[in-house]
Amino acid sequence: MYIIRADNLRHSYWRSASAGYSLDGVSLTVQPGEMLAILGRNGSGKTTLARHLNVLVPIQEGELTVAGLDARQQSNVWKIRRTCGMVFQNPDNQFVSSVVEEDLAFGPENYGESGDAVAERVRRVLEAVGMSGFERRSPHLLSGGQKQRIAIAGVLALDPQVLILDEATAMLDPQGRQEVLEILRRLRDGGEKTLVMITHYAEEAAMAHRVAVMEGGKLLGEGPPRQVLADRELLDRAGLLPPMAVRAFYDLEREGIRLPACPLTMEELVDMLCPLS
Amino acid sequence: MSLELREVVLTYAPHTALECRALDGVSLRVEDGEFVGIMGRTGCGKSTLLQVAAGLMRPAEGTVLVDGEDIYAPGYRRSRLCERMGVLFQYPEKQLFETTVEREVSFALRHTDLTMAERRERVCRALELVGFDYQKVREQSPLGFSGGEKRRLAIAGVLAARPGILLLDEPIAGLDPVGRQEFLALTDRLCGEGVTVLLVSHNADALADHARRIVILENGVLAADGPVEQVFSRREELARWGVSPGQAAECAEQLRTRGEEVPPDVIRYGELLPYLLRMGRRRER
Repeated sequence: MYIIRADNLRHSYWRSASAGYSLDGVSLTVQPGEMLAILGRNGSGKTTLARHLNVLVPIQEGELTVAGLDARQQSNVWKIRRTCGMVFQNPDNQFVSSVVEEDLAFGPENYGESGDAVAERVRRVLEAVGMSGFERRSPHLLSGGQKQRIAIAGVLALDPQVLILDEATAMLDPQGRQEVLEILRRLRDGGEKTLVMITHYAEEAAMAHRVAVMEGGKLLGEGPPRQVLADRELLDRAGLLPPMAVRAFYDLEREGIRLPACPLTMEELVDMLCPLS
Repeated sequence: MSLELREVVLTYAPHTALECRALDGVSLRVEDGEFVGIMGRTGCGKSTLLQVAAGLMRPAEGTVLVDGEDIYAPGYRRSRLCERMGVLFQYPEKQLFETTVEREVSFALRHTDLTMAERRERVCRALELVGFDYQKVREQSPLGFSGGEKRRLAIAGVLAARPGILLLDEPIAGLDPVGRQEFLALTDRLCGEGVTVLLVSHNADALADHARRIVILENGVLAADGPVEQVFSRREELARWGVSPGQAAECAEQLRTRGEEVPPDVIRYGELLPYLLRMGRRRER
């Protein structure tokens, strides 16, 4: 049973074939609890695909089923949006209140939850993103990483089955980025949420269960990170660069040094080259 | 063009509960044709520094000199500053609003006394610099482009004015790796032609490859200013300032903690590779 099943999705923002398709026949499935990274350069169609998943753009051609709901039916749109929460690139664009706990309560309250239940949810999601104690703070005065963690908490407060992250770390400083990646790792390991992560950092895609590579509105390839991210030819066709560790693997190989496997992170590379005794 | 900040102080919301000293006595001199990377954690004052340098926010104290002239002095001709400074704000792709690419990119030229032919020539050249075919895109709507393409259009709009100083606020965040390389190659090229570049970024790998000098701000104070190799080798302080020296430097540090001898100024992949090879060969034996 898939939580997301896209079949031959096509989309043109100009609604004309001559203007070209932003999505050009994408078929894709995602399993519940899976973390899928969608990797592609700017303009490859990854954001358009992400926006299909909670029907922020109407389905023009092809089929899309999210949690068993047909996205082409207007009556399903709100149910699908409840199922798929989305976190965007710029944390500043995602707040509705000037107090953290009010911001987090906004979603559940709109769905008519009682005050006590909302308070409990707010407490839980703040804990989930490691931000307990920030209830009364103003989201706008937090650091980039903290803001983005609150944005994730805001989505978690609606308890969606799927979390879509559209380049959610692109604007963060190194520390903020690590903070957000840590939350994502935790959610991945928890196995309760399905995660769809849009990125053009091959290094980040390495943490997913599966990586799909997009270019020109099409899916160029997909597979486990170790297969996809080590496929230089595929990444090259997609206009992407391999992680530094993969680059090192091939540079070592050219000098006649074979490592037991292709490392995806610099940590793995260090472990292979000089294991801790 | 040279740029100099002398003891600049800027306070947001002064005399209120939200008072915040964003720049606290910053002095900095950037010479003609220099490429300076500006780093520091979110909220350290990087964007404020650029805006003060661009003549957009008058500092409470201190002076800002462009080619030796105080840009906040009474009588200084602000219009001249606009012609000489190219400012790229964060998310410049959000600023596009014109109906065609040609109108968008030529917007800054509207109030100059250039002829139509000169304007067209500048727009054409600026679009080429960022990798667009003028004839192909000139009549298109900028709003139909992808995020990364819009970014390049916004840059073209800045370049069309042929600025002598480029102030770039996080121009590569959100660009894909190839787009990032292309953008940095372009700034390198402009720099080679004598344009002074100040570039704010969290991407240490990119700055190590392109900037020769790094300035780090912390809480509105200039924490470090020096050649990139020197600044990036101050590991303990970097951690305190919230700056990562980049993947290659981080890897070199891990190797050091495992007893490998790797000099502290190894900050680029090309410099790291010989050490990786040395270890690989040892492992083979």
